[in-house]
Amino acid sequence: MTVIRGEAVRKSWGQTVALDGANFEIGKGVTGLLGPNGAGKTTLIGLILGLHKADSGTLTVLGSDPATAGPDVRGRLGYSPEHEALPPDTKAQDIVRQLAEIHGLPRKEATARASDVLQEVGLGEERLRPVGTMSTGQKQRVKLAQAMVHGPDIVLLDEPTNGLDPVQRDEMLDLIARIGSKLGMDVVLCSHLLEEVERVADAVVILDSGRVARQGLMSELAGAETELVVTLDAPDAAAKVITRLKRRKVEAREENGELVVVLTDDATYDAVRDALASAGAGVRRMGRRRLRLEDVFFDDSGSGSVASSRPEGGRR
Amino acid sequence: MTSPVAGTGGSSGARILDRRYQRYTGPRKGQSHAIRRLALHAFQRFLGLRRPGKYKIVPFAIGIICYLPTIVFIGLAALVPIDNEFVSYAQLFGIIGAVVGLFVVTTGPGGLIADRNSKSLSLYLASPLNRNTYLLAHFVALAGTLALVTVGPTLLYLIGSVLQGIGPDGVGGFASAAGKILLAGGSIATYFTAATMAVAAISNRAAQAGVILFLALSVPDALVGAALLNSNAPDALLLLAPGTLPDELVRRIFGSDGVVQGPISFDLATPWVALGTLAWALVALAVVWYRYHRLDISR
Repeated sequence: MTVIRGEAVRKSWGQTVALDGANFEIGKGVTGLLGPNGAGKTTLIGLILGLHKADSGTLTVLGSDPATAGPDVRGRLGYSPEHEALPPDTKAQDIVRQLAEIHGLPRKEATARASDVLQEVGLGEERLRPVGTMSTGQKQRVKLAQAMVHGPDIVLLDEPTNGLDPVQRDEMLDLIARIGSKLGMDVVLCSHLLEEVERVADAVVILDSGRVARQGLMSELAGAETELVVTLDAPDAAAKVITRLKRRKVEAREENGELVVVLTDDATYDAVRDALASAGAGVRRMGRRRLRLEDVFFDDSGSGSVASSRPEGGRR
Repeated sequence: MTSPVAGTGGSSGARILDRRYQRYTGPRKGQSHAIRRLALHAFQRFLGLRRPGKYKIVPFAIGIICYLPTIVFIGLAALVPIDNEFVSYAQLFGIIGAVVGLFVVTTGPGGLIADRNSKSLSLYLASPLNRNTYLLAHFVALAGTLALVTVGPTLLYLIGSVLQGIGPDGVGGFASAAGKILLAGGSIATYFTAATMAVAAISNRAAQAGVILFLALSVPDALVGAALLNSNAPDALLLLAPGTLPDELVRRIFGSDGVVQGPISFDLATPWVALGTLAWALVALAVVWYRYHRLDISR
């Protein structure tokens, strides 16, 4: 089921084209909105919230046009912006309660839920502290809390792990995964970090220079265990195996001294077994691996500006 | 908040409750509720409520200063037998006017500027509020706060005078005086709210906004005053004095009875004074509207 749909959405700021005819569909669950800085992610979030109007094209959020039905649509959305957005002299619980009330919750319900949601994001002890005295990680949690306190249909999170250390980032991603799975809210996770989208998202929309470079379910885009990696006793035997596999129309290559075979169906395993036996190549280790989002992204955009936290000499 | 996730059955009937946060699925109120709630929160912020102690000092000090003359006059009326009020309502407005100005300059611009500087404006506009309703809520909050120090003390003075037997006679007299107080106090509160919001919309620092507001309400008035005193300039020049117009409107509402007239008297029809005041307020609100409709709040 589609919750957000865009058809030929175009938006420019003066001479700068932020979105250039973007077509996309965002469904249930956690969707990663991925792209380098300047790809148009924040502009798209602004359009979804009805804060701007598209120059052309059609955008529907939960079945309505946010530009004309803004208040109704925004009442069903939660938003955590990329930048700091909390009044520093206000207690975390007060600002979360206040925003819950503004989103339509009755006062008593807002008070109780503000306390509960801050507990949920791990700020039970800190909820009565002014936001200005909190660490970056705690502020990010307060922003997440205020975005979900009113139980929205969709939670829009713009770079929610900015400024977090690795441990805090892991905890934040776990929280986001829980929102999307256990709490039944759909999440749009805006990020330029491939790994975090890969970790929690069910689907991804990849933006590049205002256009949708690729979109779909993670399982479809990245494939599920699409490659077989074989470590041979003698690395120089890989060439012989590859030749034999190509004769049987099986795609294979050598990568970092290992034999990498693209899996298409179960018959590929038979072909690999036969080729190894025929070439007399001994096998030290064999395993499947999934094509990762990074491969998809670089294949599509060729952009190097999306950050990957993987070590050098890893997958790419 | 809590929901049963498993029934253990058995004879005890005990149940395990999931006490973690659950999604809210109850009824939601609409946009008018959002406006009221934001107005209330902004009102509390202006008074320093739910904020650290240092933010409470100025509002409460000004509140005390505004109500003190009223309390003193009522107290004196109880001790010293007199036939009429110590001061007229217009004079009382004059006494507290300077303090109201001080409040406007020191505290008024803070609300809008703080929301922009902390970027919490983006959170408010990601709610059922939009730019217009957000500004409306702030307008109501600031006008309500100012009304506490414009209408409040004078109304208290009226009630105190009536209880002392020195107030207006009869229900009609009381209603007339109360109506004038509400009209004058409401006009002052509304006018200075519009002026304060305009300055807050174009400044990024509360202190800077205070200075701009002070200059905007005093420099043109000084120039107009000088022109009227030293030349045969037409009295219509008063329309170019944004700080003097609301005071003049208050004088016209209460009449000249008991009013200490300043060095300049204006021979300008009351409707013109009222229209001039309204025009300045509308110009100020137009500035606010223009500024906020061109504000990029998503970054």
